[in-house]
Amino acid sequence: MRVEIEGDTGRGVVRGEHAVALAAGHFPGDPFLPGAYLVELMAALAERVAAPARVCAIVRCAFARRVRPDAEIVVTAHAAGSLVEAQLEAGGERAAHATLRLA
Amino acid sequence: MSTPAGLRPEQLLRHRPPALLLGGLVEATAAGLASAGIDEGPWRWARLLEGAAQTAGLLSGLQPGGPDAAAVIAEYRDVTLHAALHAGPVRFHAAFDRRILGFWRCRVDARGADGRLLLSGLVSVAPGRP
Repeated sequence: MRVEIEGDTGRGVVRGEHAVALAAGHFPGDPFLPGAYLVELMAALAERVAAPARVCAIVRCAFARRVRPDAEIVVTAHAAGSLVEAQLEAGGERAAHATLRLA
Repeated sequence: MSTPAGLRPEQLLRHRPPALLLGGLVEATAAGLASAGIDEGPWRWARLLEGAAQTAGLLSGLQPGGPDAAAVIAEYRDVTLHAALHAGPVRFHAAFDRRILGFWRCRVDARGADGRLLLSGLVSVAPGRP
């Protein structure tokens, strides 16, 4: 993921080959990224923004649409205290939103 | 809940390796479903969460009127990551929690061979789009 951090906010663009690897087998002929791996992408950015804190819990993560591996995937995260609000867009459309807890 | 003997996860799930994370069903009762991880890892927390979600998907699909193989995950809630990484066998457990609108919500956990809790939380399964 190519990441830019500014203060307590970060933005990351997922490399296309990484997205393809995450979607392997999910599903043959109808590929999209598993929701758990979308949370992982948001958590990875959250930990870059809030380093050295680590994500210890997913307070909530809701999915709005499927994320195809050939779409441009952009993650944003904003840290506020012990929580990070993260969002993931695919092809310019909001696909997931998460509230993550830091330890 | 009806669970045909010898049922394999891939008979109900669309997942295929490397995305398929369940090796088999261990136990199916009225209280829930237990499944074994497909390998001994390493299991990073996101892989544990995906395995737990697959178990929730299986359990939901076995409920009367439950979603078919096109089901998707709608939401994760109150998921605690007890271990960032685990090496070794894993067992997943899913218990039906409640119906919320068109969703099937399940309480899930992942444990190591010694019973140590690795991950726990709630997963909501939604029917896939037609």
